[in-house]
Amino acid sequence: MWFLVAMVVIGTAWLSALPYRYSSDGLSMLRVSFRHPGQIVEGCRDATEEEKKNMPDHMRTDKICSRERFPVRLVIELSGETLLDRSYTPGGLQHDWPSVAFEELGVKPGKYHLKARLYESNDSAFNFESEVEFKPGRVVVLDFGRSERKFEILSAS
Amino acid sequence: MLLNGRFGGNVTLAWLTGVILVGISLAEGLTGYFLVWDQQAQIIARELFRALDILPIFGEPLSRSLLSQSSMSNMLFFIMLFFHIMAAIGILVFVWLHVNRVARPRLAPPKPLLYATLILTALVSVVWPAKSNLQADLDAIPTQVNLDLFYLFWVPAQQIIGPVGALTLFGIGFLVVFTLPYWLRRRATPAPIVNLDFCNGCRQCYEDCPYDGIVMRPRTDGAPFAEEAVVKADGCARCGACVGACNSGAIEMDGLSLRTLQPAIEERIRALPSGGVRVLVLSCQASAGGQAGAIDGLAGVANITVPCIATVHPFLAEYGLLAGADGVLLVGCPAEGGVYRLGNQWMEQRLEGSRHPRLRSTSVWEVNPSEGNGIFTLGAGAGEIAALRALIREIASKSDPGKHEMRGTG
Ligand code: HEM
Ligand code: SF4
Ligand code: SF4
Repeated sequence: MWFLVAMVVIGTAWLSALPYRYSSDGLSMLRVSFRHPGQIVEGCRDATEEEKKNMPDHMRTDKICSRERFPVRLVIELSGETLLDRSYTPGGLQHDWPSVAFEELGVKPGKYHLKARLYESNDSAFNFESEVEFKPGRVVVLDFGRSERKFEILSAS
Repeated sequence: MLLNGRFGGNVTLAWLTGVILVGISLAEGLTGYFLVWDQQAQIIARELFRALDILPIFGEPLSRSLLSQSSMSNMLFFIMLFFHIMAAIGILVFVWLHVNRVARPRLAPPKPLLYATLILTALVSVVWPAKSNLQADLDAIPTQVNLDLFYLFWVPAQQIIGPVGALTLFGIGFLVVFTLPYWLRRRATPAPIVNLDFCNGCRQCYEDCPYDGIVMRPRTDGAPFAEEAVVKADGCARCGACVGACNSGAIEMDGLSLRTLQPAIEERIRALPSGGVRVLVLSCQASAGGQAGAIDGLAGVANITVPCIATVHPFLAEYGLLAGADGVLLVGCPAEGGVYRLGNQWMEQRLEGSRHPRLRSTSVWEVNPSEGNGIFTLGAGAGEIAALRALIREIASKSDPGKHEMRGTG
């Protein structure tokens, strides 16, 4: 029995610290994220008499407006090459919540001219440009709208 | 359990809560490792959130809380600590549920096993201490790390097949294991029935049921006893221990009772050739004696199979001798790992007289006390047929034909 228990205990101990290669050496990464509400898609119409009757007193209005938001589109370029171009659907059943993005993009280490653009509607965008160095094994973190409505590099170095 | 094929019916609750216990134990380990906040914790967080973010339950991806070292909130640690503590409490609650329908659950491991585990674990932890990896840094990519693949077995899998694949596989696996009792359910053997004409409310069946199959309730038939036994079919494993517990032969299961086994034994013994040694074997169906061909080619041996050796009332062993057997052998499962719980224990205690119903120490003993009472026991699993046959031969060689023959009757 001692032998069996010893095998189990040693086996568990062995299993508890196995060398594992999680990721190759010398990789670099751009992590980019935002949580931002797209602008509201304009679209109001007159409410019918029937609809008005069904509204609670304190919320009665003449117009019914969609609360739907534009998807937020994010475009990232590194020294002229497009790394990411994606639209993020607003959350919520009626698409009336903010869009949220979280991307991790592999980048070959080196210095780049980083350009980021975030479109909150068809004609309104936020821009960001900066020289950025991607070091091997390090992550450059680009966030939008954490404290202000602008892009911001969060990572150290 | 798996090997015994014991999942259906009354152990379903144990099965379901058992699977959940494995899940909670995993959560306990993962949240504990998270709190260390080394590179392994970083990988746990990253991969766990990557998988959870696929599910449409969180308004915002959990991964966003791992954006960067500078923006990470301490809140995350409080949440993980909370889950870590909840998991510990959950284990207690679910172990309680887990053994809810098991009578006399053995919660503590056997002493030697406990000490061996404690001492060896302590030893290994000194010789080979668990070290943390480098401190976590969300702004860096972990490369070479030491992982606890006992808890993180799913991380390599998820890296290879991606979070959607891993989560799908995990979900399907969980569902299959969780619902196994349903897929493997068998045609139910009838639960025991209590014949109130014979039941005197002695509670012995209630005491001996290893599960949750018998309840005692106030008498309903006007007989002058306080209580009567009632079988709760959904808490019953069909082991038959209650059949063997009842002195009055009030319990019958699938045609087996003190009242049906007695004539069956007599008939089988009388059918054996007289003149030679006659041995009666009563076998648990999962033991060596319950296997096809177990006694083939052994002359003068009759074998009767019962669900569990505790189905046998001790009087039946005595009766075997009275009916002309020269030796009676009761074969149960091996000491550890019986199919039904407590069967062997009850059988041994009944025979040695420390548990009701007891083997009577009258007629049989007097035949030849120096040679024992002619009743033998063996714990032998399905694979130990050779040991069983060896013991039967030994019993036969030691017995004088006809020594216990019923005198003046039959
Ligand atoms: C943290 C994990 C677990 C703990 C602490 C635990 C504990 C226990 C204990 C103390 C008993 C009573 C044993 C006895 O007195 O005979 C028991 C019985 C049982 N357990 Fe578990 N168990 C665990 C996991 C599981 C799992 C994963 C399964 C199956 C999926 C399972 C299935 C069962 C069954 C079916 C029984 C009833 C035994 C019988 O019918 O003879 N358990 N468990
Ligand atoms: S057969 Fe009898 S002893 Fe066995 S579980 Fe059912 S009620 Fe309990
Ligand atoms: S052992 Fe028999 S007599 Fe006693 S309570 Fe159970 S059924 Fe009734």
